[in-house]
This record gives sequence, structure tokens and C-alpha cells, in this order.
Amino acid sequence: MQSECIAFLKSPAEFCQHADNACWSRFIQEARQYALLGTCYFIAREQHLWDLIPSQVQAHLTSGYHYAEKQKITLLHEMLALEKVFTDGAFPVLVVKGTAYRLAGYQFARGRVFSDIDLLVPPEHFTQALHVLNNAGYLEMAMSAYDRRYYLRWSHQSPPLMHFLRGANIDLHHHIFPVASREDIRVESMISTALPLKNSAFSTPAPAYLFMHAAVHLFYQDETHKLIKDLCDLYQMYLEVMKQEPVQQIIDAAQASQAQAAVLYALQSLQLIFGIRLPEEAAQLLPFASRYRQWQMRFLLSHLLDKTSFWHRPAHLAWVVRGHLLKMGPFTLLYHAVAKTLEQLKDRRTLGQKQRELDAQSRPGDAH
Amino acid sequence: MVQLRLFDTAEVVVSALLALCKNLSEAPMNQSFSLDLAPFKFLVHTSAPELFQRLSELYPPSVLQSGQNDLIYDFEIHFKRRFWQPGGSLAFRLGQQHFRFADADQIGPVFEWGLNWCVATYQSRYLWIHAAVLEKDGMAVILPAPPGSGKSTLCAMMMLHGWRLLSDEHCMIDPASGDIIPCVRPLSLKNNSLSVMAALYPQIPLRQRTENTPKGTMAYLAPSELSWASRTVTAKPRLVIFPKYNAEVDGLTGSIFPPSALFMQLALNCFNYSVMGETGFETLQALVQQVEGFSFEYNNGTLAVQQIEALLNAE
Repeated sequence: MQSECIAFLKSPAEFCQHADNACWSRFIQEARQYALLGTCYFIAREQHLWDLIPSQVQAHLTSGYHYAEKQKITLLHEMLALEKVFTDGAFPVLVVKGTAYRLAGYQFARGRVFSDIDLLVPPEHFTQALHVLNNAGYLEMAMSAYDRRYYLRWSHQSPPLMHFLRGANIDLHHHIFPVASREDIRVESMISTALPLKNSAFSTPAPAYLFMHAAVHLFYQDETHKLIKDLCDLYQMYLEVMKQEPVQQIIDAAQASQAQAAVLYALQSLQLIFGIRLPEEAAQLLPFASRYRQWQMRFLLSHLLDKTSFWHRPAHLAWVVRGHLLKMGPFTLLYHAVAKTLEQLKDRRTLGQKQRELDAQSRPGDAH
Repeated sequence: MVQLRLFDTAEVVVSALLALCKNLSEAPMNQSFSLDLAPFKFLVHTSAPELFQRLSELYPPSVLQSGQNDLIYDFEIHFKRRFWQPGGSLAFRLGQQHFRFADADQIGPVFEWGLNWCVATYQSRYLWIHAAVLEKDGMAVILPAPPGSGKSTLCAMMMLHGWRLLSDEHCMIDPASGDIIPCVRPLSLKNNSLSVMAALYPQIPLRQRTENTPKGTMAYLAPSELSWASRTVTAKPRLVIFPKYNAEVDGLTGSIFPPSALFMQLALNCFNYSVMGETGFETLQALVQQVEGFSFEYNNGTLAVQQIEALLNAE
């Protein structure tokens, strides 16, 4: 394992005592890329390690802290606006992922940054919820006809919505994994066991379901650019969920949602990367992932995290293909790959010009 | 799930071969160098061998060094050709974050803008006002102004009159001490400013002149030796002046900014005021209590420099 952020999270005091200049340089780049500066700031402060950190690194952690605090205020402001949208309580509305960690008051959410607000409603109320959001000014962003159809036909959410004045992004979900997938992940029990937020129109998933959702999100995805951030989140969440509920709850949540393999990968990966003790209850999930699949996950993760490995790039590509296959199955993927390639070829001549226009519009702060 | 396994294996083999070819073709072209700028250190990997040569006209050898040293680098930048990319031949990237593409003849300005972008986007340890800062006798003058108001020209003239340049764009205030942290970089001059400077100071070289950039014609003025030598020395803010070149004005006119108006004007010129929240508010409030604010309109730069010196001495 070559990730400095993982090393920091695993054992902050040891990292701060032994890191040399090259190590700190890599740490800054990585923590910035994976938006972990704010998280590391709080860990360093809480564990009284601040004075062990070079002032140059402290400056970056402080920057991350300021940015995370700003985002916290923006999020709460947006949630207050959303409260007014879902007042009638006609159907349950869950906030999920990063927003749920923050609203449900999880400690690991401090210092965390996020890009959008994720809402989950029962599939039968999806159209109604979308209508309510549209009426409140959250509108679909411009995208190609093919991309829009992709969302409507195969994915687990509406095309991303953006508030026409405030620019806030909302992803409205009816499932937690694409409906085109052969993995039939269920949301009924996640919704029925959700915990209502006090004085609010929203609920958050129970701790075990939050963990299950994070595991599905991480181990069934096709992207690698947030992998380290997701692993760090998952580790901190696991430690916190374990303080609240017995591990059997997580196993039950996995079984009720039919996400046993993802949760098994999550527990095994936390053991592999962060050295947690694999709970005995995890044995109940073993029948749901073959030994080949378990080896494949270990292989991919260890080479994805090691940038110096010869297998780093191949692992990256294999991860992308694997994620896409899980999301849509081989035949839909073939159709999707051909359609996307044709679409890009058609646009090839104008891509350079479009990129230049985008570049010229970029402003400081856009990168967050 | 048989198809899946076969597909995975085939992909792994094909992409391993691709990775090998890519590594072999990329390796000999790349060059690394570092920019030891206070307070930020940059490590740059580039596939453009001319970039180091170009920058050596602007930065002294104590700042620009080839290779990588045993330092903590704040920003590791890749400025490289990529296998396929629309929009230009070189891409400026910080980690996986793309900033901008550049054609080979524009790498100088795009690289300089890229450094600004790194700081502007990811730095909120210091309150950053978009302003030039110069210092004389331990007292600093802050010159915030929108593009086109003649700020850079005035800043260049002040530096050539013996002022120490702290920065022509990054006025960074340390919330803990209220001091200004220098960030010495080459002074960027654009369009009309170039002919004005060439007429006033024909003996001073303007380097890396580049035509047809998105901001017009650009060139750079190297900071004075004094500015480079003191590039880690902080300064106490004393004056804030909003300069505006106006050919219609007779000589120089000016007015005083009351503290409340000064606060609002400075906040508008801050890049990270809202990100810094309470810290930003308190830092700016302390700054406004420490300085006097003026706005100038002038048609004669020399007169403006004299007036600023007079105000500083009157303090």
C-alpha cells in the first residue's frame, strides 16, 4: 500500500512522527486530490498531533478546514430550503451518502466535503418527488439526448438537478444501484428502517444501512478517482457504526438489501488495508462471493493503491470494465460503449473548441 | 458470469501491454524542476524542454532549480503532452485536476496563470486580496484594482523607483499576525502597459513577450534583486490605494475611503473571503483598522508614485 492518506488515517501519531519531507509532499498532493485535508485537520487537532506537523503542511490542512466549514454552512442553508419543499410528508424522503453523514451528526463527517445532495424516495413516489423538486426550481442540467436517456432507462436516479438560482445540485434516487444491473439491490428495508431527523421532513438510513450503501457505492463503482477518499470514509464510518450497533446489524442490512457481496468486500478490504479484525459474522456472507471474486478484489485494490506497481494501470482499466459490467451487464454495456464512441466521434471536430471555451470559463474554486 | 471473467482477463492483458508501451514512450521526454517561491514550493514535471529555459529568464537560480530537492512541495504540477487531447498540445494539471491546455508558443503565460490558479483555488490559510503589494521603510501599500485599471503598470513603476515588490497579484494577509506574506513572482504586463513601460524605461527588458493570448499581448518584468532577496520578509500594511488610470484627468485626483466602504471594497476584491468565514471577517476588520484607504485617478504615473510616497511619509 502506498497511500499516504491511508497511512495517516490508520495511525496518525506514527505517521506524524516518522514522515519525511517527501512523505509530507505526497501527503499534501493526495489529501488535496481526495478532499481529505479537512478530515485530516480534525484528526490532527483531536489527537493533539498538530505541533508534530510541519507549518507548511498545517497551512494546507487549515485551508481544507476552512473549505469544509464553508461547505457545511452551504449544505445546511440548502437543506433549510429543501425542508420547505417536502412539508406534506406524503411519502418518506431519505437523505443519503455525504449529506446523511452530516445531518445525522456522525463524527467522521466533520471536515468532509461533498459535491451534491443525494435524496432517496420509494420508487413508486419517484415521479411525484421529481415533480415537487422541479416546481421548487431544481431543474435538469443540459445534456445530450443519449445521456438523458441513459439516466432514465438504466440508472438508479434522475438526471442531475440544479437549482436555477442557487446552483445547488441534487441527485434524486429511486434505487441505490442502476436498475439495468443484474444485481437486484433492494431499497425497501433501507427506507422502512430509516430514522426520522428531529423536526425535519427528512430521514437518514439506519447506521448499518449507511455502511451497506457506502459498500455498494465503493465496490460496485466503475470510477477510481475517489477510491482513497471512499476507503477512508468507509473505515471511519465502520469504526463509528461499530460503536452504535452490533456487526450483525450490518450483515442483516446486507441480506435485506441483497448486497451481501459488496458488504463482504468492504469488511475484507478494511481488514486488508486498515488491519481491522474481520468479524466472525462475516462468514455468513462468504457464499455470496466466489474465491475468485475475493481474490480479484484484493488484487485490484492493492494494485490500484500502489501507483508504482506494474499492474496499476491494468487494474485501473479492469476496475472500470468490472464496474460497468456490474452496472449494466455485458450486452447493454456493448450497446452503451458503441453508442458513446459514435457520439464522441461525431463531436470530435468541435471538442477542441469546446474544451478551450470551458478552459477560458474556469475560475479559481471550480476545482473543488 | 463466465463472459465477465474472460472479459476481465483479456482487458488486463491488453492494458498491461498498453501501459508498457506508454511508459517506454514517455520516460525519456520528461524533465522535472522546482520553484522555491515563498510561501509556496512548486515541483514541476514537464515534457516541454523549453519551459525551464524560458522560466530561467524570469526566476533567479536560487528560486528555479532543476531536479527535485529534499523539500516539502506544496503543489506538484504536470505540464505535459498527452496521448490524445482536444484543445492544445500541453495540459496543465495539478494531480488529476485539469486547469488549461496550451499551444507550444503560449506555454509561458499559461504556466504562470496555472501557478496563480493553484494558489487561488487551494489556498485559504491566508486571506487573499487580489492586489499588488509593495513596501518601503517597512510599510506596505496595497493596490487592489480590477483588470485594465493600470495597477500592474503603477506597480512596475514603483518597483523601478526602489520599492520592494511583495506581489503584483497576491496580497496575502496572515490572520494570526495581520502581516502581509510576500509571494514574489514576475510582474505580468499586458497590451497598452507594454508600450507605456517601453517608452518610460527603454533600458528595462520585458521578457517572454507572447502575442494572441486570451488576455491579449503579454510580457513579464523580472522582480528587482531587492524583492527576490527579501522574498520571505513580511511587511506591515499601512495604505490601501485603489488606482485608476484616466487619460482625461489633469494630473491626479483622489479621495479618502471611510473604513466601512474600504472594508466592502476589499471584501469584493478578495478571492477567499467567503471561504474563510469568520476568520476572513476578523482578518479584514483588523486590516481596515490598521490602514488608511484612498482612491486615485491619474494620467501621470510618476505623479501617482510621488503622491503615494508623500502619503506614506505623512503617516
